[in-house]
Amino acid sequence: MAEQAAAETTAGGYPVPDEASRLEPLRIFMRRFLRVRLVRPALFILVVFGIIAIFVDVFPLPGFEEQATDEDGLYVSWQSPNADHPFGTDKIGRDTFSRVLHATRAALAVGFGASLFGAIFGLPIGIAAGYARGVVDEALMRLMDAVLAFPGLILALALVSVLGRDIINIIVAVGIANIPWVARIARAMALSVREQDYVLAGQTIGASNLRIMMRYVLPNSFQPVIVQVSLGAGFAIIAEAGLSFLGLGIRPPEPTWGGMVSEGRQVIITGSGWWLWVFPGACIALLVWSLNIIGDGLRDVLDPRLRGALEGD
Amino acid sequence: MWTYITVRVLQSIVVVILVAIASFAIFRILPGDPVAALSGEGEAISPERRAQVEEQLGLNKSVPEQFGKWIGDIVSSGDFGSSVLTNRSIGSELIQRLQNTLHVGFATIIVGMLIGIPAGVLSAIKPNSLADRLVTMLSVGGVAIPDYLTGLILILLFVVTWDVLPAAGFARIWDDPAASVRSLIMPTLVVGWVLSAIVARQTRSSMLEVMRQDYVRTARAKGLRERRVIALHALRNGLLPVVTIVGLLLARVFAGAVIVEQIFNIPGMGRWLVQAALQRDLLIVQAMILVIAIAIVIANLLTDISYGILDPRIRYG
Repeated sequence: MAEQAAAETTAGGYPVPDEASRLEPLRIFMRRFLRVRLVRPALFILVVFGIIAIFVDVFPLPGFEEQATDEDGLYVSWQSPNADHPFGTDKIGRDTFSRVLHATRAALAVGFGASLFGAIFGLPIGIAAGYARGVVDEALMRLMDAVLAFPGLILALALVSVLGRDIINIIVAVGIANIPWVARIARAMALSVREQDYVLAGQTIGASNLRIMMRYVLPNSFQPVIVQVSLGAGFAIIAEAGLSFLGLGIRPPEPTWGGMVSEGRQVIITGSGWWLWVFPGACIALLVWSLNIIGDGLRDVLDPRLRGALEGD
Repeated sequence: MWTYITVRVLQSIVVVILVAIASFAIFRILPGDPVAALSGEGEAISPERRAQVEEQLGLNKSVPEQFGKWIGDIVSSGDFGSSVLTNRSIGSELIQRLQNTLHVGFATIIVGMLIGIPAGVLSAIKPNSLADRLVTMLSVGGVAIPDYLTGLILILLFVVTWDVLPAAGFARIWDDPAASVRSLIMPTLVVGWVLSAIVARQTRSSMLEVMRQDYVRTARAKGLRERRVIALHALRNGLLPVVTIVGLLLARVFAGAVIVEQIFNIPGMGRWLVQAALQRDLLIVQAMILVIAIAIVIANLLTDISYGILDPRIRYG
């Protein structure tokens, strides 16, 4: 492999386009991205949560429904954090640590599921609006304005009350609120791409509108949409936890961070049980923070115009 | 200018119509038996009750007729129908609830302004100072920390630890000023600190712009102290654009009302919406989301128009 690479280098020392040089932009991108402030800790947090979500079943933990008992067979409930239960136990003796880790799955599934759902529907709507312009644009964008008029959590709450509370419905309910944001960004990209010479060239050789949208406009809209997927996942995680907090999220006994915060809220006045809501609450904040930092970091690196503006600010 | 206002108003009317159709449509895509679901009784519904609910909801008519009647009643007489579960009229309770939500909402906006404007001015005067960094931190935290968490932290501090505020409840300011202020501190802080970050950012950028203007340089050149330059010359123009974001803030207040009213037991629209969603009293849910969405469309319209008045660059050609 190394010999081959060396053989393909020109006399001037410039590599001909091979695997390595095609990856060069990615390397430059990663180097810049990792230099953005706080991106490294944010990536670390996201990766840790990802690993937890994938491998939580093989961790040596009590099950999330398992009720701890003492030697007399009584449930060990309301334990504050200790060696056996690092995050304490709840009112029926379930281990909070195990439940917090298991809930990572629901959070990431709804977070990224809803965010991708928004991208999958928002991209074609935005591209079609921006490419077609005129009446189509006006109609689609007013429709998006109508969706935006409902605050995300309120729209999700209404949809869940109709559709029911299984995880797919929650992903759809939260995801719909993400569609207009992606559509607006994709539309802006399509508006600028459609004026490019290569689109004109495509039209000249008789490419269909659909082909031009798929081959030229879509790939150019990806980068800003990736930023939105990251930010949208953060919003979706907050919304999912909000639904669970209000009792309209994923059904118990499946643990969710929002549901656990809600259990803590019920006893907060007694001055006890802080561990029930502080740990899951911190997880929500950490995960959403990291997604926001990553999203903002991606935007800084992917959009050079913004980079200058931020430095000058 | 009038062209711009006309276009924005027309656009908003279209959006309101779409919002109404969407609010209506959400509840006609019910999986399964809509009558059973809307009655709140599920599949075990009796034939008599079924006939009664069908009559009450107009489900025995065609879908366009149903929509027409629903909207017609609302527009002509503010009649949103009545709760399927309790049979109480939605419209009359809605006014009460809306007042309470707006009461808390405007207090929240005042809190946001009281914290946000000084913070924004400070951070504009001294970039990279402690105040400036604090504003940045506030905005990052405001996005990442959900309202329910802020609410619990406040309860832990003000109620459990210091025992200085009531845990829940609500009184209107003109009924009992002292109790009202005490009951509003926590609910307004939950969303208020998020608003303060938005206000501070807006204040900061508009102050930075104003401080670059010639008349500020002139004021400095004629020997005024910096404090006077800021207070008399820069602040007036710098704060004007902040007014335009009130609509944006109101939208955030409505979004937060669902959580805040639930935590602090405030009898507003948000709490009603949650209760209705839990009991699947869907006519109430339908009415709530319609009212909230229309309020937000109006708030956005006012924001855009006030921007257009202040900044001619925004207007259409």
